[in-house]
Amino acid sequence: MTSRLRVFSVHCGLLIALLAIGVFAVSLGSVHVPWTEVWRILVEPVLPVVRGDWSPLREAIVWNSRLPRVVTAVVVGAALALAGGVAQLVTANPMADPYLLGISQGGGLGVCLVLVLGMGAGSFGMATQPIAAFLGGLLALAAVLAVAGRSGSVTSLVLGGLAIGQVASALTSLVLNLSASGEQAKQIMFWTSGGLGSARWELLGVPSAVLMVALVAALVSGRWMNLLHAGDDGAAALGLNARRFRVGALIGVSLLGGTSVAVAGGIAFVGLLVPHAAAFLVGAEARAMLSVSALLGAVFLVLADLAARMVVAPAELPVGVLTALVGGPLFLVMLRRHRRVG
Amino acid sequence: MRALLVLMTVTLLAAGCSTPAGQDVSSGEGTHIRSCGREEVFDHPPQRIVSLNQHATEILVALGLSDRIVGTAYPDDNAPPPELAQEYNDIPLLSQDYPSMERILETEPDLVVGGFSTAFDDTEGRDRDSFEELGIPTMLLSESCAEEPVSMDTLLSDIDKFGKAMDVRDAAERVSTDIKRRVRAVEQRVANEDPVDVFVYDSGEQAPKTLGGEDLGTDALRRAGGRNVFADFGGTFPDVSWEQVAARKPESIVLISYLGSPAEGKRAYLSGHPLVSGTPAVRGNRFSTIPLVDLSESIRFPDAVEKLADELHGAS
Repeated sequence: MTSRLRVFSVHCGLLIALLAIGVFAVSLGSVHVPWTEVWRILVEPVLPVVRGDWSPLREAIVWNSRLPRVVTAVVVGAALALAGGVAQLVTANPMADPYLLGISQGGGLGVCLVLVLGMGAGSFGMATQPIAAFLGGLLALAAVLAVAGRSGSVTSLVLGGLAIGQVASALTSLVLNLSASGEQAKQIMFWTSGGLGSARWELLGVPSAVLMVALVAALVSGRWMNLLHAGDDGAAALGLNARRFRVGALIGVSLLGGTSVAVAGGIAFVGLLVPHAAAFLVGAEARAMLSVSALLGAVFLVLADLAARMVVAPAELPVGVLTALVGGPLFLVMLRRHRRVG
Repeated sequence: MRALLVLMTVTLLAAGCSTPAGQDVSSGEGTHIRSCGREEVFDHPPQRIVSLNQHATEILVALGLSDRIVGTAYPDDNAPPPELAQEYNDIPLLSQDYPSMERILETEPDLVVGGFSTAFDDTEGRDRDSFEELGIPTMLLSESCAEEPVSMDTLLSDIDKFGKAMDVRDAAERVSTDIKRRVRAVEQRVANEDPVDVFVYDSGEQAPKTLGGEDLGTDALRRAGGRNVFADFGGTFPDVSWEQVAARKPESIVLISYLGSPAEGKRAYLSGHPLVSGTPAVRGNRFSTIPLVDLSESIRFPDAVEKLADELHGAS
């Protein structure tokens, strides 16, 4: 009972924190918009009484620039953390995340190819790069599964992911070096370190939908994920085809990872770190851990992006640099604690 | 008498030594040129020049040195000004990018000229020290190492240095005079016009890369009757924020184009951008395009000023 109360209060706390940090993030930027005006601009569509005489510029900044950016941070943070959490559960490997499985690198390669071939805004308009990233991620995962899936062993899965990730990164560098254009190289550099500055409402549809479906699927299948603790044979005894379930879950992970790379580039450590923090807060039970991961990932990325915008203002740091800078040491601390406890 | 001679010699020597750094000195021991923080000595005017960037090559060609250039590299647009095109195209192109150290040495140069500091990248073994160890002098356009805002004067001073180093002083004088004359004509033409607020867009979607106040392009804009809305930003091609672009309400947008980064895509991107689309420039559809090389320290500076003035204030 106390554990259930704990799960509930952690959820509530994180939701409130997310809302507060979100509003805070929307009111900060390189152009000053008074806080008192920000909330009125935000609630005006539903509560027209608060209408003031703010300029259309401020309204555009809040609604079309800062809000989509914060919401993108929420969606991407949640998606990456959820992807990491699921990957860690189904591979029983605490180091698994979209990066380790080669999905992010595959997505990056997809984007790189599209840019170098000059189809940056090509056949599918603004969706070209997201689709390329998703396909690249999926292809990388398919390659990993083809290599490692037959044996079904977790070790070969993770090692396969590592190798495919390296190959994808190497191919990205190769393509960059073969193409003469420095401009593309710069764009792709930003891609590989991640950033939310190009967030737009119209880019958010696919990732949000993927996140919602994946979240529901994860919560529904949480019971089975718990069964995996018993090992593949143990799970089979309890009526679960562990291998098939794992493949399905990993396709979900690649969807989450690929769509995240598509809108925000490669953002390191969120998928790796956040599930551990979530387990630290609410324990290892899959459903509680995954939903807390999603919330915590959202909070973490909104905060990281806020810092990325503020540290060297009015310029910006790539948010991926910041998450790695914060996430890396934090992860080491957790590793140490883990070792001492274990 | 002898003592007097010694005294005079010492005084002369002392005077020679006390010449402030940065001034070019010709003495019996060759021509001394200060180029981007380094003192280079030329015993004789270089006869085998390698130039590592197109815009640097164009300056040398304009000085009538094309038959002394044994190699060029890193073309920006492969479209030099028509009056230089014939001679420019006859120069062997060593590489589409920067050539390797070996490729440069193969041409047996007695001077290596760089346009951007990346030309002498030490991670690729092409730093100026390495050339010096081999007894090969190097020169770098001052834009790459300027401590104060880059302007037309930076260009004129480099042309003067080239003139001295290669012993083509008359040509340097002629080229400089011509640049000043053309730019002054534009300045007089727009003198009575109100300056137009301009946002210069280089690239970037996460954050826009634009011209800083110390970049040469800002000087070109000012002389053409424009005002860089980000002139208060320091640094070379700084990244700014989209919010600031919108808040500064540019009346006109200048798109920078270069190989692999054409202007059409940039124009479409800005027109569809949630914040920039509300600026007077986009609403009035006031876009113009300028090649990056025109805004680098190059012989095309007067072209850039004329072109910008035509775009901002109508053709002459």
